[in-house]
This record gives sequence, structure tokens and C-alpha cells, in this order.
Amino acid sequence: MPGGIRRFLDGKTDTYPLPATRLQFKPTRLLRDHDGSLWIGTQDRGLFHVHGGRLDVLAQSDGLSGDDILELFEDREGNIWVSTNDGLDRFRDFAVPTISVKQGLSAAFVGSVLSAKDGSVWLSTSGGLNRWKNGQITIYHSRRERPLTRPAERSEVHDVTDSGVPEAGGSLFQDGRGRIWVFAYRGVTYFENGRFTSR
Amino acid sequence: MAFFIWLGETLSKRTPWATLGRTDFASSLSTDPAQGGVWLGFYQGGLAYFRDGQVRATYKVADGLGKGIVVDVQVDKDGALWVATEGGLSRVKSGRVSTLTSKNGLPCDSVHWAREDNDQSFWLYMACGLVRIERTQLDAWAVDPKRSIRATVFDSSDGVRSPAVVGGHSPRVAKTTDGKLWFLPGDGVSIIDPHHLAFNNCLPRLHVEQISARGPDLSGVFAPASAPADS
Repeated sequence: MPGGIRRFLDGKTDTYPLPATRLQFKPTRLLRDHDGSLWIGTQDRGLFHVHGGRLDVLAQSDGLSGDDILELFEDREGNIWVSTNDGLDRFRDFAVPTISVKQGLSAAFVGSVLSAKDGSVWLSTSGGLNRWKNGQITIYHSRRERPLTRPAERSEVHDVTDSGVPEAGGSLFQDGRGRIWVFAYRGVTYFENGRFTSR
Repeated sequence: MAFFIWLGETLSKRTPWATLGRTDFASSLSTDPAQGGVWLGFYQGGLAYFRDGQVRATYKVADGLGKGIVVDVQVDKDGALWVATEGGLSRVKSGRVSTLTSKNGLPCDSVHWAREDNDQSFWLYMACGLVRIERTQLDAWAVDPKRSIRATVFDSSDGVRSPAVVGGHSPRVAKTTDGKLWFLPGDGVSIIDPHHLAFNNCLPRLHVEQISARGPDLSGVFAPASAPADS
């Protein structure tokens, strides 16, 4: 029988909805932490972390010590300790998180970062120019670049192919008119009103 | 190699580095909002202030500037120039140069950049981590450069990746409209929110193992005991 989580609410039980997963799993341990997020230990699929409407699945292939979760524990500093069939893992929030390909960027190497006046952040990578705004990422690709294939649940990432941006974008600058200039090895372009223009 | 001065929409003026008396090239550049002109930091060390087509001032290690590559230059709101070098963080103001190094309390010497946040602190991205120094500490050091400063280091245990060298293009750090600093560790982009720093305020539990006074061990008189940290 496939496992799952059931919720007891107002005298009734129903299936606890897990966001964006069709994984079959056998839960072994549950922990509600100080932030209200839910940690689910499984017997065969590693650890599930449900927070803010999102589900992160952490397995041995992601660096967890094992896929069979034995115990979950939160200490008084807010660390989450996870014992598995093959070791002990600790989870805690970093003061300094890093966003990379796993979070939706087009490439790991980021050569420059620019804060624009409209609150967006521009990142020039080796695989396209990324514009981050309120958690949404728009990736402007040059003619030759192909967008990465990514999981369907990455709905916050949008690819714009053949955008007119030069290959291998370099330094970034915003002028007094609000235009974003991209200085690349193969030329200079600027972004204004949603399009790139070469100079 | 040369640097280009943009004159309006299409014109640019090419200035070879040799005309500035250099055999290397600039590794960093910043405009000077107070005086006009630009500051150039060089790959083989040293600094030049360039305005109206001429070098107006130069600074070398012999003048007190930090050694090695000038990785970043930045003018702050008071008009002081902060120069990130491999040999410390230099400050240039009114022709006077002083350099903050590990001798003054930095955790190491190699500085990638320095920026001021919106909460009266400076952030230094260094080869040994991300370092926070309160503005008042730096102001006191600027008056007396022999002084030591107090620095808070964020390292790999805080998620900070600290490459020995930073490369790429510019800018390498950005302060966003919400006051966060976004910066480049090489792989991806890292973010620090200076206004919401996660300090661990839990004191460790106290455990007394031994008591002695002027020599003799008094542990037998006072039984060792554990006390909760919050008592």
C-alpha cells in the first residue's frame, strides 16, 4: 500500500496535500519546527521539507547521508538534526544563502551583478543574462544559446530565446535614463522597453 | 589595451594605458561623484586619479597603499576612497592614505571589495570570509590608523564561499533597493541582508569542572555542577 501523510483536523482525517510531487513514499517520522515548516522522514526517499507552500526533497543523491530516516530532532538553537541509516545530518538557515542553477539561474558562473532602479537585479552569466525580480527570473538568451531543461515546477523561471543580447555577456551598467547596458566581448547592447538594441 | 571614455551617444575616446605611464592595465575603476573624474586601480598595484584627460594624482605602496592587485575602488558618501587590495583595505582622503590590515584586526589581508550598508556598517568580502565592521570603528581608525578594529567574520559555517581570487566583470557586488548586498562567489550569487542578521543568541550551558584558589584544588569542597545558561 502506498504511503502518505494524513491530517487530523476538526475531528476528521484527510490526505495532507504535498505540493508538486507524485512521489510514492513511506513516512517514518514527522517534525513541525519553530518556523512552522514540516519535516517528513521517509523510509526510502530521504527527507521531505514542506515550507511556505514549497516542497524540497533531500535524498542521498543531494548529499544527505542516507535515504532511510531514523529520527528527527530540533535543538534549542533551531538546528534540525536528522539521523539516517548511514549517518547524521544537520540543517540550519545560512546567514548568507547562494542562488545558482538549482534555484533557476541559467549558468553557475556569474560574472557581474547589477541592482537596477526598478528593484530588479541583473546577473550576467556564461549562459545568458538573468533578470531577477520578486523571485521571478527572466533569462535572456543569445541566438546560439539553448535554455536548460528544468523541472516543470520551476514556474518562476522564464526563458526568452534569441533576445538580441550578445553572447557571453560581460559588465553591466545602468544609465541615467534607466537603460541597462551590457558590455560583452562581441559588442555593446542596451536594454530598454523590453528589448535589446546593439550599438 | 586601453580605456575608453564615452562622449555622448556614439563617440568614445581611446586612451592607451601607456599614456598614463603604465605598463600594465587597470583592474578596477570608480567615478568620483564629489570631484568628477575617475579613479583607476591597477593590476600591478597603485592608483591613479584621472580627470579632464590627465592623471592628476597617483598613489603607490610607498605612499601607504595596500600591496598587490587593486581589486576594487569605491568612493563613499563622505568622499573618501576605499581601495580593496591584496594587502589590505586602503582609505584615501585629502591626499592621505592609510591601510587596514590583519595588524589592525582584519582576519586576513586580501580584500575583494568593501561596501557600506544602510545600517551604518561596512562589509568587506575577503579571501577568508565576509567581514562586517561598524562605521564608527572605521571612523575611529581613520583618525588613528594605528588603532585596531573589531570585525565580525561570516565564513563557511554561515554559508559564505570565499574564493582566493575574484575575477569576471563589473560590478561584482550590488546593493539592492531593499538594502541587501548581492555578490559573486564564482558559482552563483550570494545574498546578505544586513538588516536581518541571524546571530545565534543562545548561550552555551555552563559546566564547572574544577575550582582552585592560589594552587589547591577545591573541587572536593565545592561540588562541580552544571548550571543552565539562562539562570
